[in-house]
Amino acid sequence: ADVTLRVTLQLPLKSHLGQNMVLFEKEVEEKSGGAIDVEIYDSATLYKDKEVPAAVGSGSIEMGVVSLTRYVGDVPAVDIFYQPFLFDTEAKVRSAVAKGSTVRAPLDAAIAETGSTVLWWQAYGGAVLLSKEEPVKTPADMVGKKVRVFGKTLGDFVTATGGAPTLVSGSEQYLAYQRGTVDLGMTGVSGVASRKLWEVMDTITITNHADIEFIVVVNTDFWNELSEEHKEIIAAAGLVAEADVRDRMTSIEADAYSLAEENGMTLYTPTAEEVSEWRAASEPVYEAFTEQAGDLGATVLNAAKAL
Amino acid sequence: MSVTRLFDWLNRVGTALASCLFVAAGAMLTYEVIARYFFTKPTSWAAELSQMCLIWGALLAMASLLSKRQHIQVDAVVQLLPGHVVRWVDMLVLMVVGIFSGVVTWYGFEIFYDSFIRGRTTGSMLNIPIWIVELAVPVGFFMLTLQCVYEIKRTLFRVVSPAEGVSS
Amino acid sequence: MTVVIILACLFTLLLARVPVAFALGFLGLAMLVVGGFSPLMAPQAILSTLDGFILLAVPLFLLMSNVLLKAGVGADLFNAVQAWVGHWPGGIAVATILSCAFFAAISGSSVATAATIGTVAIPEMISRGYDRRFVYGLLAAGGTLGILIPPSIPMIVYGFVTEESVIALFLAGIGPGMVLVALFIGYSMIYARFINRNKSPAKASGAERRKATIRALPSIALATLIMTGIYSGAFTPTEAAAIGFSAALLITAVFLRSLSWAKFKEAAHESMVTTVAILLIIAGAKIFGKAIALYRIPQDISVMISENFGTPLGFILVISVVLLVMGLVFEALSMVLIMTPVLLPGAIGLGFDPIWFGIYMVILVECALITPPVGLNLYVIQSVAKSSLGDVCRGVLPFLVLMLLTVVLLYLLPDMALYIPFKL
Ligand code: NA
Ligand code: NA
Repeated sequence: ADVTLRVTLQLPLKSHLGQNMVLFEKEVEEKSGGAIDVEIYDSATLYKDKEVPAAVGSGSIEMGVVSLTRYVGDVPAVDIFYQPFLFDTEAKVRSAVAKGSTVRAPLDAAIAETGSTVLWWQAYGGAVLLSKEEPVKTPADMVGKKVRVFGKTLGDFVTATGGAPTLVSGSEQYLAYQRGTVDLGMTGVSGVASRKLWEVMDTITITNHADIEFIVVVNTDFWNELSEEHKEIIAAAGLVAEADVRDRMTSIEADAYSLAEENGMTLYTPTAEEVSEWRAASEPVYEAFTEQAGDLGATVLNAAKAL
Repeated sequence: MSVTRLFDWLNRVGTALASCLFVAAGAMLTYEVIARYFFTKPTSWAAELSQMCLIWGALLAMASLLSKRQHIQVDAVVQLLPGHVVRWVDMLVLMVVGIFSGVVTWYGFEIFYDSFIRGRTTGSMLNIPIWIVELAVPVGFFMLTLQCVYEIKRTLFRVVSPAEGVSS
Repeated sequence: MTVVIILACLFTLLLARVPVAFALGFLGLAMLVVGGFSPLMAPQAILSTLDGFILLAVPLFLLMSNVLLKAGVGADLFNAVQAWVGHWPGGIAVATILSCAFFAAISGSSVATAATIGTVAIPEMISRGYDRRFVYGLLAAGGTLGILIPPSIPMIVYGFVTEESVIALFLAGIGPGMVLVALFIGYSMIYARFINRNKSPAKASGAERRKATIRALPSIALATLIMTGIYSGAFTPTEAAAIGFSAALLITAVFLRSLSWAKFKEAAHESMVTTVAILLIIAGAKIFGKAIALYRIPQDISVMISENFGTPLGFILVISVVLLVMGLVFEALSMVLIMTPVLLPGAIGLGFDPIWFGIYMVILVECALITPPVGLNLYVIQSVAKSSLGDVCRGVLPFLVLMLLTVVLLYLLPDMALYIPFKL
């Protein structure tokens, strides 16, 4: 092969993001007639999620899959997708993440300044709350509870609603719920099945209070040195992969919910009034975001509200 | 003589700081458990600051561990060799360590400098500039590189053999 | 072929006495450069290793056990246990094993356990007429309980590398730890009854028992606090270590008044040195691990395993032999760090539970600690007892057999490890 694209991926190959990379690999290798070789290093053998922005930006590796909000250190505005209940319907998510949309385009441009070019976005689904016996209907159910979080903005959200945010890693999640280290759980819905969380929690509140997105980035210097033909092949394959994973996400989430139900979990969807209570309680989070994320933050927030 | 003193002083400061940082990490995390368990008010800073203590502590003490031969190593075979051979093997060992730490210093500085000029932050609960953490790598490995050069010089001119260096 | 060259380079560097951390780091860096990969990976790997929250537990558990050690808790524990079981046949041997087990519950290291209990138990046992070799073997092997009974530094490292739950590993170590304690005790009683008859001390009076127990109570209470804290979910492992350290300070400096400022400084310094040595090895292994991943070596070995060992039993037999042979010369932690990424994918493919596999690795690491020529516990006992290495090595043999028996039991009854974390 003339060009080797090494990709670091945190999740295992059999996860839906891993399968999406395999699809990309097939597309690229087929369309280039084997001139471009894609090598996927899955399960964080090379880099953990938090190391990927620096690894790709510095050219340590050509490509990487990373959760969007990992860029928050460089581009605080990416946390727009963790703003509680901002993207609470699939339609809103779809228009926000579309290539060139008023929300996504400014973020892609800002990320480009870190030395990484965004190829495509991968859907991962919404964040939900897990609990025992009772659903978490309103912010009142959070008061005084220890809640698992992953990241600062979600921590702010928990604080704003009266809970105590506690950072628990993915691998300690199961035991943290089982042993009651935290009272309430928070995860993307696919995490429920992959970690068999129904053994330790019995209720899912489908809050979709945050939208979890992954992005596939390529080192910009490397990208610029590619021939136009190769760039086109890779970009086209990225578009195919992007459309595929976005369309499949809906059914993946539906399957995850029915699997959770089969395993004895109760699902609860908050009513419109409850959601507006959540929104009201989240006001300090939006304020903190506006303060920290600067002009870019204001731009994407307005764009998001206009959707 | 004054160079020897300078290195001794640097290493003493490095190890003393490292010990203090680790003890401080223990204190912060104890506070965190009490705050969380008894008052349901987890701190936003304990986890991250204690992690910084670990990073800086480990890297500051590295050079001292080398000078006192406290890094974990496999002694069984070298002990069977005659003395003058051991001296040359030791030189090579120090060069391996020195080359490695020199390269890490260089690239570690690059990582630090990049974050410094970009104003990158940790993006975590505390959201502090990330270079505060990354600076520990070039600093610690620069100290280690210097220590290697110094030890090579000592071995070459046989001021003390490395084995005796422990007690001297 | 590449694998052979890499292994040859690694062995040369290690045997030339390049510190393990730098041998792994240097070789990994060289492989990156040769393969055309960016050397930036090296500092990135070091930073990401030291940035692991779970690894904070390493200095804190070491601080806890060193504070207790400097305050003389080993002797208190041994005296208390001896007051209760000393008069049994083989009573002092039984007391030694139980003391090792208790100390293991507050220490994450085998060396510390062997040294602490050895210092008090060896003179006592020898003065009671026990055979030297038996005594040395018992202490070297009993010390290895330090890493099987939680807390355990190799388990923390395994959990860090594999991203498995350290709490689950801790809980899974309890069952096999108990089994090993029972086997050691059974063997000691048979040995004292039939092979090396010796006089047990007179049964301690109630007053003596009470006095000795009160003295040891704080450390037993501390072990209980840590275990229930971890088990109930009140603490993460790192927090448990911090609480343990603070509680150890409180007990020794305030209640027992057996820890002076000078001793505290010694404890802090020694913990720091061990921590730095361990963390750097992990960082070096991470660089090496990335390099072999880029050369696709774990993947190739995983494929080779699945093609050649169709059955779990065949796989376990072969890797047990490999690990035992490696354990002859390898330092224990480096073994976990080098072999886990290579073996675990294959093991999971054959249906082994990753937590179970961690416990299995820990027991084989324990074997490595007591097999010559390189076995840290052998050296510790040799220096504590001022004896010949040969005597220690011969004494250890029967205990090695018992440890391998535990591996067999663990294979036949996986629940021995998995029941407590997942089914209780
Ligand atoms: Na232990
Ligand atoms: Na050994």
